[in-house]
Amino acid sequence: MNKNFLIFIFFIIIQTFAFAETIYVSNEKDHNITVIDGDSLEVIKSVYVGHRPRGIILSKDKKKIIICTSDDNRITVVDVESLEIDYYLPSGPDPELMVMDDNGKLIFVANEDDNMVTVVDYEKKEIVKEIPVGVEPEGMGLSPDGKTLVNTSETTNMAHFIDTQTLEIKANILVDARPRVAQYTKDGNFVWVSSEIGGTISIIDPKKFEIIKKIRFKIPGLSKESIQPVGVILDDKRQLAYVALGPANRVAIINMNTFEVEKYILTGQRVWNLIINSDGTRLYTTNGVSNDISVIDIEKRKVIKSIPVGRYPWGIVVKE
Amino acid sequence: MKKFLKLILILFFLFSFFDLNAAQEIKIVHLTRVIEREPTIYSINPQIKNNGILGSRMGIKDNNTTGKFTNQKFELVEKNIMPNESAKDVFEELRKKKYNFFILNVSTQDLDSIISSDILGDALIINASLKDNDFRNIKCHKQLLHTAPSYMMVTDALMQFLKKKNWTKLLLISGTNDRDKQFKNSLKISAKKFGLNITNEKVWNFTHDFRRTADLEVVKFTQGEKYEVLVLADEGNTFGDSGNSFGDYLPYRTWKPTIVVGGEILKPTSWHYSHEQWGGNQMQSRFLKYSNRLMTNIDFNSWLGIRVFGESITRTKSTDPKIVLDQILKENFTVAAYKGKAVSFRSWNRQLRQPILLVTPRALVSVSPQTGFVHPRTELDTLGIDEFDTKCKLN
Repeated sequence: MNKNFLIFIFFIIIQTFAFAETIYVSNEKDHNITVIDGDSLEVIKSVYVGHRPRGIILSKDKKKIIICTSDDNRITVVDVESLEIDYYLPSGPDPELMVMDDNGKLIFVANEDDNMVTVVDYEKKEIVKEIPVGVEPEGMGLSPDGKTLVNTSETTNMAHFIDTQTLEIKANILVDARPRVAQYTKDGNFVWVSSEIGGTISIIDPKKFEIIKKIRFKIPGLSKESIQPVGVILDDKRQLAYVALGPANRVAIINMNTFEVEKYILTGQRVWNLIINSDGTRLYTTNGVSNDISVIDIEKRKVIKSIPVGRYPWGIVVKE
Repeated sequence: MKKFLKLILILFFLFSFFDLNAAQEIKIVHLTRVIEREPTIYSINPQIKNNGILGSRMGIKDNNTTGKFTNQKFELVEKNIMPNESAKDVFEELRKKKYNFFILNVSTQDLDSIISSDILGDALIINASLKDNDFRNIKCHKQLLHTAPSYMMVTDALMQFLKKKNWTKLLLISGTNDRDKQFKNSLKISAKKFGLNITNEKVWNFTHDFRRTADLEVVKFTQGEKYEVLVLADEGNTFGDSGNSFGDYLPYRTWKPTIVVGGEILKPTSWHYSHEQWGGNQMQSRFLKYSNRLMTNIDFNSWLGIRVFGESITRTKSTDPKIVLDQILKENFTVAAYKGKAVSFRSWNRQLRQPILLVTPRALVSVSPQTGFVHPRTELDTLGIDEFDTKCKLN
């Protein structure tokens, strides 16, 4: 009996260790998020969060999952432990994507239908400011020092550099058609902006506000139009960038020093957003048409598993 | 005298300084032919108000959102050509006022007279409504661009879809007006191009008496024909109007159970309110909020025309129509059009290459080019007149 109990305890401990990582995926058409165990790579649960969930992040204390529920015109906050809706935050109309500042106080939200970036105070649960930007704002990238926010607007084709102190726009840079995602490198020296319809990545010098390099993609057998870069994740440790190429159904691995594409990895259909896992060994991608996520082993540079989730998986976040 | 010169110099400096700070102003004309509407099948069908203009207005609004950051101000000049007015006169009056950028929603004859105007100069014209193949072929002009798809593009789109379904035996029924005939001729070329078989061609002459024979008319009309799909060449009675003239009589009244395409039944078009993919729903809701009605294909073509001008002017920072045109024709000049693929202009005939939607009155059925139809340049060039087939000679 005692022995059995010890084995049981041991099993629990093992389980707890193995249960180290959890993946949360927002499903745009299913109004829910899918919760996946990062060890077994099995779906644990799906949680209703509200209409058209898209952008998804974790609070800095990792106790809450924060989701843009676009068609409800608000942000839904889900408790990590109970996996139940805790409360809502105001967001302005049609929130799509958001980013939180490093001290976990402010959330910057792109309001797609309203040409605004809304700044929300996470603790006070209220809107601090609305900043008018271009048509259909989307991508949100925060500089490592937290002083600059880069917002992209899909129809205006610009990257707007916003001062997070004054909340004023300090520069606008024209990029290629339909910019989607903006990401700062860890040293703050470059900003990577993907242009979905232009089919390029623009590397911007955020001090001079200049495009210093444009990365183009070429995949044998695929037309130029079907290569549509969306999600960008920078792996500063390996000096590699991972770019999701939409209907090209591939993720490009790019050397961050030479800006050369090293490999294209085949994933699910219409791969949009991606994220590196907590120990930096894996990449998870959301595939909007095949309704699954791909698990990529970064060292082996290949997909090791596809996990079916809800309809139109959009955003993805990982908790240690 | 010296003092006077000094004053002039100071004034000159002041003005140039003032100019540096002033926003660059760009005026774009939207020219609409006002028409008396011909009868439609159902008189209750509402005629769409401000068709095209509302698209242009939203385009200007979008351009100005960008312009706010680039210090450029776009303005729309709306001008109607009344039924008794000549398009050439109206156009030349506008040219005399130094307008260089035009979006046109006019008739074939109007466009003929406009591009042959002696004072066309460097003016740039975007055709947002006419599908006539001739304007992309023998009647093409280096300053005439088309955001409206050509007949060849829409019939290719329809034929690719039927080929993909493997429904390849077609009975072609056409109306009698000029646009019906153009659609029919294009359709025959498309059918041949993609290997579909037109088993018979018939003309709907509008001589049938529906009060007397009721449903029997169409039964008799289609009896004994060997086909899988009935294809309509019915472009409606009124230019620029939606709605068809006879097409709605045919479905469900045929001799045998029949799929009907063409007309308004399954229509190949550049835009439809049921299109939601690739950010389309954002465009639809933005337009609805701004215009209080659904977005038509003419609205879309006009919006896109204004955006094309806007993109080029924003990127070149120039209002010189020659520089603007050069930029538009650059290989890497693309515009996002909510159709999942970058749209751009064909250098050989100034036609915008774009995906074509196949829609029923209330739903999207498919989008062409269909998967599997390939082209060395881009799949979009499987739709419409290709470089090797063009009869366009740009001077």
